[in-house]
Amino acid sequence: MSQDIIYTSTSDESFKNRSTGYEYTVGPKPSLPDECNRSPLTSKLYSESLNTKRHEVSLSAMTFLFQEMISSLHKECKTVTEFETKLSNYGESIGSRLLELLNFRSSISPGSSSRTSTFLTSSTSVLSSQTSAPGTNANYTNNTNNNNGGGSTGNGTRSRSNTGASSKDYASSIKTSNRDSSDRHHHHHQVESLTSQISKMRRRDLKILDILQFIHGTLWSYLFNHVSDDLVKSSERNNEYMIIDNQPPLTQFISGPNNRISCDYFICGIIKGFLTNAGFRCKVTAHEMPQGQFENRTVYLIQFDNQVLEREAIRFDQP
Amino acid sequence: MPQYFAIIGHKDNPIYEAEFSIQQGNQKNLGFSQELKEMNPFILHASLDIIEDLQWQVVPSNSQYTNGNNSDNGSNFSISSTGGFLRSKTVNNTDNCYLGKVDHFYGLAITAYISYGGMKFVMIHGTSNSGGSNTSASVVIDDSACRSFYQEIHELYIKTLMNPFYRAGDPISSPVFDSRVRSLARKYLNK
Amino acid sequence: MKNFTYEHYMNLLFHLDYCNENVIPEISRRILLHAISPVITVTSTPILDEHISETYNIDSLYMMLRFFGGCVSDRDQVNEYTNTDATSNEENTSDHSTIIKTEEDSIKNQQTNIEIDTQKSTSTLNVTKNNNRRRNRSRSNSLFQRDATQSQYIRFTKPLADLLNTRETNDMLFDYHSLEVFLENYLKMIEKHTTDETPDQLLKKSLYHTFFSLAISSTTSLSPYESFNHPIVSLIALDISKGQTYEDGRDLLISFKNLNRNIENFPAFINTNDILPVFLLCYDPTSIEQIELCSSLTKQFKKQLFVETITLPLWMTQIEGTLQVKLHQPIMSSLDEMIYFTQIEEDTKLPLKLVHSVYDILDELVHDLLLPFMHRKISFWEDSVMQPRRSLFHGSKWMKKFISKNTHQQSSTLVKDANGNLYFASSSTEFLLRKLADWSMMTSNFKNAYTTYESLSHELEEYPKYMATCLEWEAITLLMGAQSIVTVKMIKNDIVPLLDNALDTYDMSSMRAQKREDGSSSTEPFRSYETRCMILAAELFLSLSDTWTSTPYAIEYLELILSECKLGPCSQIMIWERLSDCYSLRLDPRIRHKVENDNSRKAKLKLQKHEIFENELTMQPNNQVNSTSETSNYDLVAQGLTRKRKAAFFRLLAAKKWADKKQWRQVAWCLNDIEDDYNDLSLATRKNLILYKLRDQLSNREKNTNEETTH
Repeated sequence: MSQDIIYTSTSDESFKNRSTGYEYTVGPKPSLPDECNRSPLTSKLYSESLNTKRHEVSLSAMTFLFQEMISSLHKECKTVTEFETKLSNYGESIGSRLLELLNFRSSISPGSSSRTSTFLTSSTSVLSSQTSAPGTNANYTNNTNNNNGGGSTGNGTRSRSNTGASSKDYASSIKTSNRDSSDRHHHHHQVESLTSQISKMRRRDLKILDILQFIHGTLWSYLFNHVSDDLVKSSERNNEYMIIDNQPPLTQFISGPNNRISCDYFICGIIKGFLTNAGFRCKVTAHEMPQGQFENRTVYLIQFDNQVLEREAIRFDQP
Repeated sequence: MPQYFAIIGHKDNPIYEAEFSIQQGNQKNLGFSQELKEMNPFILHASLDIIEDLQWQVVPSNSQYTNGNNSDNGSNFSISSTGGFLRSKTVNNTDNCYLGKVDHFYGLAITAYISYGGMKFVMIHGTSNSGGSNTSASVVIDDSACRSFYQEIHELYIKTLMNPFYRAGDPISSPVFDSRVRSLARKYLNK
Repeated sequence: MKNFTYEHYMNLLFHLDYCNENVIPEISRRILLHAISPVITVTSTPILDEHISETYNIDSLYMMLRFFGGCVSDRDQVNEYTNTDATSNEENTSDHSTIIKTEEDSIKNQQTNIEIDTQKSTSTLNVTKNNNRRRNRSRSNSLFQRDATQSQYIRFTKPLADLLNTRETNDMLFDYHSLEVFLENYLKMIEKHTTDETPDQLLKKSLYHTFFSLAISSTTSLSPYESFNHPIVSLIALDISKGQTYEDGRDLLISFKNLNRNIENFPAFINTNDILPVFLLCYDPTSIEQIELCSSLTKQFKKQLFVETITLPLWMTQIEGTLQVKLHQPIMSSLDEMIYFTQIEEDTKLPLKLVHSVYDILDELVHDLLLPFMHRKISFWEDSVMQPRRSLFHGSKWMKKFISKNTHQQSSTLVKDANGNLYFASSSTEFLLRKLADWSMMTSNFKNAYTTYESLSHELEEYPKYMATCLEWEAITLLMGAQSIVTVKMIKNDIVPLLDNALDTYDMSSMRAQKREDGSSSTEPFRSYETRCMILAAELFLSLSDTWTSTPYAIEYLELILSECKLGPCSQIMIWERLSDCYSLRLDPRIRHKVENDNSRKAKLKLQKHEIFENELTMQPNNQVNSTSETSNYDLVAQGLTRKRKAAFFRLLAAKKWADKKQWRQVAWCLNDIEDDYNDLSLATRKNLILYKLRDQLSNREKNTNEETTH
């Protein structure tokens, strides 16, 4: 592969030692006799915790980057469909990563940082997490609810109504990470591995509704700091679901409804990447549906592959 | 007890593989026999069917091993229909990432773990005297150690994935990843 | 298109043009029915045998008739000939056969109705013709169009005296070593007749079923514990053209009836009274004299010896240009004969007309004599043995125990043979019940067979050897019963416990035998029964429609065979390959049609791709879109509901084992089969892995053999 100017997975400082890594043409390497005596290789990528950082990206920086993506695609593409597909592909690679990251983060016991809460959260119920960490903000608690899978729709909407009044404030900044209050504890004693803080991994979502609720709640909160405005099942076709955002923050500065919708395919891609990698093959499209004060109200229409529905029927329907 | 570990991507392609053979005191390496070295990736590939079956079961339990009954009854995945409330509670309490022992092949045990993105982490556990002979005594799996090992690997994998320059599904050639995995193997599997 | 028949499938190696056909899943039931079909012994005289060998170059009458075993109404020896030149030859033969048949008819009429012997009108001729038509042509012999139970199979074997003289004393069902020798010879034949590119999938299944049929059946071994291979009809043949007379026939019959006195150690479990003697008169149809002699002898045998007679126009004058039929080997034969014929591989030919005549008389034998005899016996045993027990006990267990204990104390029914083995005598109730059950099984009355095995099994608790095979066949009757009846529940609650019980009992009796004689050889007979039981059960499980549920059981038994039975290396590899077949059959019924559609679509795509590839040589490559779209169509629903990868792996293992045995054709076929499964994986190209190494060895083999041939 001549284009390997940057070794894809070795952009960290130790790429010079590349020869000791895995080579797929050769196969597994056996353990070396002196393996345990060697000083372990280090890299920033692997040393940092998946949970400790809280970097918010300023909306303007993100918008500049987004604008670059869009204009370069514009030059490249001949049709709108092609443009939308390519923009969606960008989103997909983000969606697939968020699928792993957010689920993994959700596995961490909510109050594992402090002694008292560790004790209490051994039962990991919704109630205990709320009482043990009273300082956590509403949004976070809400995520935990979703993660535990119990009645998350109700909680999701309640949370939305809480944050609804200040939704503009949230929309003004896009966060790449929204772990706040509980994560602050970790900053003092950075733990490289989170596994010790996980008593039980979050369950993989097997059903359409479960994973959509995770997107509606956790994914949206991670991206935009609020849950999505609605999650609706189509009454006409049973493979269609809609996630609704009243004010998509990323595309708010783009004028012209058609242009804006095309650019929303970036989010479509994120949803699609998230779902497809979890085993829910689908097509995601964006549609504009203004309602009342929300002129930019956008519907992300998710059309699942028929096989997904069939599988659900075979696997989970009671005979 | 040697192990062969691999991360399998969506197209059945290994994106990472490693063999762990543990030194025991002054003994020389107790690795897999040459015959098994040639076959391990295929043995592992063969168990992917069962892993995918378990992947979509509400309570991923391979009846083959839980009941001691060899029926491997995959059509059993619909859980008992009674008591929605109680049921959902028990279902939610089971971990469906770590699948435990999923398969066996002449004394070798195969365990598996599935990440949220559908990556399959699979490991063949050999016996210490595995010369490919038909030793009937199968390997005993320490589930809690094994589970922790897989979780740590999962975390390492996510870290790899967080690197924007790594494309999902590509082989993980990072030596750091490799050395991390090996030290985890020493920590959890060297028993 | 010609029909693809049972015989074509079982002898596929000699019908390679059918390689792309499919075989029905129920094939194993048919093979089983054939494997336990009634056995007919053929006793001939040296004069007759010599005459046959002079005229047709076949050693003996038995050697000739053995080609006609199988389903008589299928007439599989003449399949190729009736279909190819149906019009010209049919007329031809029927022209000639009218003459013959008139004679035959006259004889037959005399047998049944002596009064009408003056009238030989065309009307009676038509009746018999229609009769034959009913049996021969009303049904298609296509493999797909008939239920297995509709055909009556038969097998031929040597005279009973020969069987008893060559009988091994160890009661083995089959010999592992002979099976291995046969396989090796057969594989050599395959190597000779095929190439690496021959479509192999059906051929391999056919090979397995040939192997399977030999493991479950034998025409030469007489088991004391079951009566499947015990002869039911004894054909006694006379050559009329050489002047053999009534006295010759009578003497032969007497010596047959007195076998039990004249043969040393005549087994107690054989009863010549349960074998129907039938005379077979071989005559020349052109000689009026001989025809008349036949009819008078027929009457005489009937009147004085109470024995029926059939007549065969064996000595036909060689008509110019008569079509010679090349006979194929019969499907069920003894292992020794099979081995012999794989070694010499020489053609046997008979005139088409004669072949038809033989089938005609066999039709008569089976439908007019054999089956009525069996039904008579069955209902007699029903009334005399089965019914009294039923009405006496009324299902009360206590009474049953009480009385059966009493009867056991008499123990007169058990007979000790010269080797000190205790057997039930042929006249004992236990053995009669067993016979009743076995014969019901042979005539496809599975329900009756089941109830008989079931009631018998309660009385054999103290005789594990008898108990084990009884339980085994009880389970098999359940599996053979109508397919729709076999449910998951039935498998779990009835069939599997029975089979496991049978296996345990076999185990127990082999351990007992070992204790008593502490010689390891005495345990082997039960091992052969055990192997038979497992291989048979596995195969019948595979024939059920819900393969998702049934394959795990098949796999379990096959793996047990591999770990416990002393099969030879080639036989073992056959089992490994069968395991691969099991896994590829493991398919959830809810997705079966989808997967099948998907497969055909993929096959089509592959074909297209091939074409595109060929076009590319002339045009510019524009294939990239195609390849990416293909990779993404893996079936989400089917995920985890098939065992394709397992199947591929077991095929790979088999390839490795074939390579160890230097069976390169088999290696090549295995590797062809799994090519698609591994092609997209890096595993296929890695030099240090087994797949690459096998491919490497295979291509080196070709180089080596090429060098050998050039030098």
